[in-house]
Amino acid sequence: MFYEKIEKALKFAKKLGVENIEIWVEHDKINELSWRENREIVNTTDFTGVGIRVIIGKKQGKFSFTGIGENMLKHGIRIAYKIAKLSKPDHFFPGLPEKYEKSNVKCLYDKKIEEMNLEKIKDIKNSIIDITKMEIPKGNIKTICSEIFLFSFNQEINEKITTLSAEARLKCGEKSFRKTFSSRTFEKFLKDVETFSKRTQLLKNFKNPKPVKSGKWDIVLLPEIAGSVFMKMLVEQLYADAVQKGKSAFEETEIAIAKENLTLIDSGIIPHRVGSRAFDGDGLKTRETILIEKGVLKSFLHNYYTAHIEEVETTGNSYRKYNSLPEVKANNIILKEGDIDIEELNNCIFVYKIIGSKLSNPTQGIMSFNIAFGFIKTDQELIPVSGGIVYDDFFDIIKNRIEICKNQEWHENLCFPPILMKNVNIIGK
Amino acid sequence: MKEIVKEIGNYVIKKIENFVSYADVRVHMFRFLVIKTENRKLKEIQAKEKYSVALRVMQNGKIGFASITGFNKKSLDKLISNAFSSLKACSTNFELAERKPEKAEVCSNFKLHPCKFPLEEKILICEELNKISITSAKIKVSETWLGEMEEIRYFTSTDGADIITKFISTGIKQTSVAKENGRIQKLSETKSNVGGYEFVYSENWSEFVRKISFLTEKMLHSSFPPKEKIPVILDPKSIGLLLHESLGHACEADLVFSGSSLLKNMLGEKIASESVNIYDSGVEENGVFVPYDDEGVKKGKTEIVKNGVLKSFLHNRETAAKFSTTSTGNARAENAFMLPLVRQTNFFMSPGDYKLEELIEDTKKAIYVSGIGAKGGETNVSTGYFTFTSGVCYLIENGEIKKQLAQIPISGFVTEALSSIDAIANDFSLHFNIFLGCKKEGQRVKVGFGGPHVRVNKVMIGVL
Ligand SMILES: [Zn+2]
Repeated sequence: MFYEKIEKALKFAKKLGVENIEIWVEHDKINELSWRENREIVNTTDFTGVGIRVIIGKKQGKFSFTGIGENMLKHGIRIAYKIAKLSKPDHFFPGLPEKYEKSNVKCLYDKKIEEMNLEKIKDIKNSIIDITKMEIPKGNIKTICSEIFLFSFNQEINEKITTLSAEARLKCGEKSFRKTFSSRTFEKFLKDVETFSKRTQLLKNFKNPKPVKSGKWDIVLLPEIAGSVFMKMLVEQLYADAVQKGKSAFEETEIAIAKENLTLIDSGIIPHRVGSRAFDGDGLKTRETILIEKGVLKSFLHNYYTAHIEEVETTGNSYRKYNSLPEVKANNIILKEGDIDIEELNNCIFVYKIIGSKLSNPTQGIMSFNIAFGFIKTDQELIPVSGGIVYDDFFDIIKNRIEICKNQEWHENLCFPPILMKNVNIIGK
Repeated sequence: MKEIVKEIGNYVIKKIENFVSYADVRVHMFRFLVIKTENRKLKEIQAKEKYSVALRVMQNGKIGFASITGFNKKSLDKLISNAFSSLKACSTNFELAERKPEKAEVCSNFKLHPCKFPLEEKILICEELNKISITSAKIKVSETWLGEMEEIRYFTSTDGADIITKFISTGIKQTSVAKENGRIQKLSETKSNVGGYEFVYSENWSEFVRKISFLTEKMLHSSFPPKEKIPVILDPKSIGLLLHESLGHACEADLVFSGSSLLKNMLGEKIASESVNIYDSGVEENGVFVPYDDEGVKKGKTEIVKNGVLKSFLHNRETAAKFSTTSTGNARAENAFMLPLVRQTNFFMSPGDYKLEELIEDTKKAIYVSGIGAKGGETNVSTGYFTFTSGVCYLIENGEIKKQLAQIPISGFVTEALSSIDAIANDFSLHFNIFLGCKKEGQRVKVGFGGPHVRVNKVMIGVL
C-alpha cells in the first residue's frame, strides 16, 4: 500500500516535469507515560511526517505535512514544484546524492522496545526509582519505534530504529535534579541509569548548600556536564555550516587548539547509542570522524551540501526532520579518557549540574554558567554548594588548564570522562 | 473541510460511545506559509500542513489518550484501540469539572483568504518591502518575512458538544542589522494581524520596515540609561510581555496546584495597585482567536485582577475540579498530537484614565520602554522574579521624550512591580506573533498580550 502510494507520487512528479525529487517519510509509534506526584497520564501517538523536496537545476522547493494519503502527496508535490520554480538558484547546491548508502551499525533496533506495552513502561519507572533510590515526583518515559524512508526517482533507502528515553526530576534535598536518559536498546538504557546512580547517590543529601566564594578554583565537571559544555563551547563550532557562515571561531584544520591530552571523536556507528543510525539526513552512510587528535583540529563535521562547497567527502552528519532541510549536527561525541583518578582530587569543586549557560559566547570563547549542584571536596569533607558563576576563557582552558580523568560515561549521545579545569574564575559571594 | 472533520469526529464517537462514560475527539488542521527575503533577494519559502486527530476516553474515572496523523478509517480504528490501551494502563483517578456541551461554528474575521492571493504576488510584496528596508549603507543585513496561518479545530464529545473554530492570521517580521566602526546592532520586530491578505493594504508596511532599520541605525549611537533608580513607562507591548511572563504563567492552575506558583495562597489578596485590572479573554480585537478551548469550554473573559485584588486562576476541567470551581476555558494544545495544558489566551491590563500625553507630561524623569525589538525573558514562577530585555528605550525628562537609549534588561518582582503602578493611560493595544508562540512543556501556542501605557516605579534597570 505504502510503496504503491509513493510509486504513484513519483510517477506524478515525473509527469509534472520535475528534474528530481526527494521524499522523506518518518513513521513514529510513540508510547508515553508521564507523571507528576501521583497523577499519571498515558498516551499513544501514531505519527507520520512527510517532507518533499523538488529540484529544478540549482533551485529547490520544499513542502512538509503530517499524515499520508495519495492526494496529500500529489498536493505536496504540486506546491513544492511551484515553490521551486519561483525560488532563486543556489549555486552551491550540489543536487541529491547519486547513491544512497548505509553503514553497518548494530543494535539500533530493539524488539523489546517496539513491543513494550504501557504496563511495561510503568515497570521502567519503578526500575529507575529502584536503581537510583531517589524519589521522582515528576517525569516521563517514552518508547519510540521509528521507520525512516528516503526516496528519489531512482533509489530508495530505509531503516527501523528504536529509542527508549526518560526525563526524571529527581528529588535531592529540597531541590529537584533534572536528568534525561536515552538509548536505542533496553539493556543499555538500564546500564546508563546504573552508571548515573552510582555517581549521584550523595545528591540525596544535598542540603543547605552554600554559595561558592569568589576566586580562582579548580573545578571538576562530571561527565554529563563536561559533555554539555564541550558541545556548546566547541563541537557546535565544528559544524561546517557554522564555519562557512563565519559563525565559528575556527576557519581551518590542522592547527593546535588544545593540550595534547585532548582527543575528540564524532561517531554515528556505535551500537546502542541514540546518536547512531545507518544513514544520515542525506541518505549517506554514517561513519567515525576524528575532530581533534592530541590537541590538533583535524576535521569539521559535514553534510552533503557543506562537503560539496569544500570539495571534501561528507562525514555523514546530515540531520533532518520531515519538516526541515538537512543541517549539520553531531552524531555521538566521544572524548578520549585520561589517566587522572578523580577519587584522588582534593580542594576542588565537583560540578554535578549547571544552569544559565545561555550567557556563554562560544565564538569568543567566553564560557559562562551557574553552578546549580556542586560539592567542594577537601580531604576531610564534602560541602554542598549552589550558586556562583563560572566565567572564563574556554579556549585558554583547553590549551593550558585542562586535565582529563579516567572512566568515560555515556549520557545520551555523549561519552565523556570527568574533566578537571584548573584555576577557573568564579564570581560568587 | 468542515464536512471531513465532522465525519471523522462522528465516526469515532459512534464507535465508542457505548463503551465509555465520556469521550472527546479533537481534529486539528493547520496550514502555514512563510516567505523569507534577505538583502533584496528571496531566500526561502516554507510551506507546511499538519493534520492530526486526538481521542480521549474516560471510564470509571480513568483516562486514556491517543493521537494519530492519518484521517482514513483504518487509522481511526487504530486510534480507538490505542486510546483503550492507554485507558487500561491508567491508574490515576481523574475528575473533570462540569461544563455545558456547546454547539458552535465560528471563524475569525477575514476579507481576502490567503489561498485567494497568488504566491507570486506574496513574494513580490515581501521582496519589495525588503528593498525598502535597506535604508542606508549601514544596514548590513535585512531580513523581511511574510507569514500566513490558517487553523481549523473541531471538537466533539459523547455528551453532545460540537464546535468548529477557524482562525486565519497574517504577519510581517523585519530584522535589521546595522554596523558602523565595528559596532553592531540588531533589531527584530513583528506585527501580526487577525485576518487575510487585506492586511497588506491596511497599514503602511513600507513605513514599518523603514522604521525598524532607522531605529537599528540610531541604536549604534544610543547611550546607556542613567545609573539611578527612576520609574519606567511601559508601552502596551512591554506591559503585555511583563504580564504574560510574570503573572500569566503564575496564574496557570496546574502550576498553582503543584505548588510551584508564588500565587498559590493569594486568591483574594491585593497583588497590585488599586487601579489595576487584568483579564484573560479568548476573543479580542487583534488578539489570538480562542472562542472555545480544546475541551470544548467557552472561553469568555476571565477576571484575573480586579482593583488590584487577585480574583481567579486559569483553569482547565481537571484543575477546576481540584479547586472546586468551573473551567475558565484555558485548556489548549498546540495540535492534536499533544495533550491540552492550562494556557493563557489574550492576557492583558485594561486601560485607565490618564491621557498618554498627560502621563508623560506628569513625569519628571523616567525611561520610556517600547516593545519594539523586546526579547522574551525568564521568570521564576515560584518567586515572581522576572527579567526581560526591553525594546528601544527613550529618556523622559521634565515631561518630554528626549534621547534614544540602548536596549536594557528590566527585572523585578511581579507583585512589587504591579503594586508600584501609579498611572495607567486610557490607550490600549494587543499583540501576538504568528512566527512564534509561548512554550510550555514542549508545546508552542499563540498567545495575545497587551495593555495601556503604564508607569511603574519599582523595577530594576539591569539584572538583580
Ligand atoms: Zn509564555
